[in-house]
Amino acid sequence: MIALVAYVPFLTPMSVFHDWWYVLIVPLSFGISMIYKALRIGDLGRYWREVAIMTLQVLLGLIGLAVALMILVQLIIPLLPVE
Amino acid sequence: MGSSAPPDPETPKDSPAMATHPAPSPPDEAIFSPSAAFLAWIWPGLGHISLGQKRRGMYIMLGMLFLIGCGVLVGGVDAVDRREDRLWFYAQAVCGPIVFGIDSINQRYIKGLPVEKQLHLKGLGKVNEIGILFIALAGLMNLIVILDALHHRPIVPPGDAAENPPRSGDPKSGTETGGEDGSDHAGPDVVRGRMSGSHSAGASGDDPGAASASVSVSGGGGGGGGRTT
Repeated sequence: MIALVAYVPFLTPMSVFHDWWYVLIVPLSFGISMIYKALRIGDLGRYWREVAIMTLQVLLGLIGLAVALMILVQLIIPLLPVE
Repeated sequence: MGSSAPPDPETPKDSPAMATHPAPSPPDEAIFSPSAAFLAWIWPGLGHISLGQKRRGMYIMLGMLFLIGCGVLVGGVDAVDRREDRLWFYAQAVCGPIVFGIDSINQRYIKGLPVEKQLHLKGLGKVNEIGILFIALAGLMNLIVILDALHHRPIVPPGDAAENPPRSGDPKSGTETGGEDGSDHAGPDVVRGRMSGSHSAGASGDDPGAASASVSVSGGGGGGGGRTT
């Protein structure tokens, strides 16, 4: 509670994200998609739709990489013979 | 429309094939604009606004400010620190003076405090890392924005390009054809020249010859194959 009272937005860090840091990949990929799509697409009428699609693509790609690494580290590597 | 398109003055008049169709411009036609690049560094999105693309510039500005704002919100003003995180600061500095302002606040007001008072103002661990990362990525994205503004290729709606083929070196060509803010309100047939490779001849695809054909048959409205999303 003391830490909450002491919190001043944009001045002090948000300590709540110490344990939930991976949630921040959502705004990160959203912001990158906003800038990238603003540069790349020709018809800006579809801008927000394209941003949402790219954000989802980035998130799904990262989740896929995480799952693949988890399978590699926790399932495949333990099966390797130990000398 | 069709054959009513005015002939390009640069086209030889004794060439029957070229007399009715505007000649495709060289594929590497782009506007070199250092002032737009400088404005893009001064304030994100300002470079594209100065090139007549207000809506695109506003979206760029919104995205940049979103990333920088999230970085400072998560990591505090300590997310920008030119002394302790020098290498990160090089990437962050591409965002422009806004980052120098944040660093100035950090150096003057946070670093000047006694150590006990700095404890809850200083970002530590993952929060600090991610705050730095947000702003550094904003800087790297702004580098792309600056390069795009520096070497700008105009956006040409196919119909307009068929009637008014842009001239080489004309900074207004194609940037003000889609509405008050450039091509932003243009329809779905808008083609970004940089994707198609035949941007200035009113191409609706990758083939300049096909572009000329579409001029005489359908007024250049067919397809949007040059656009990538």
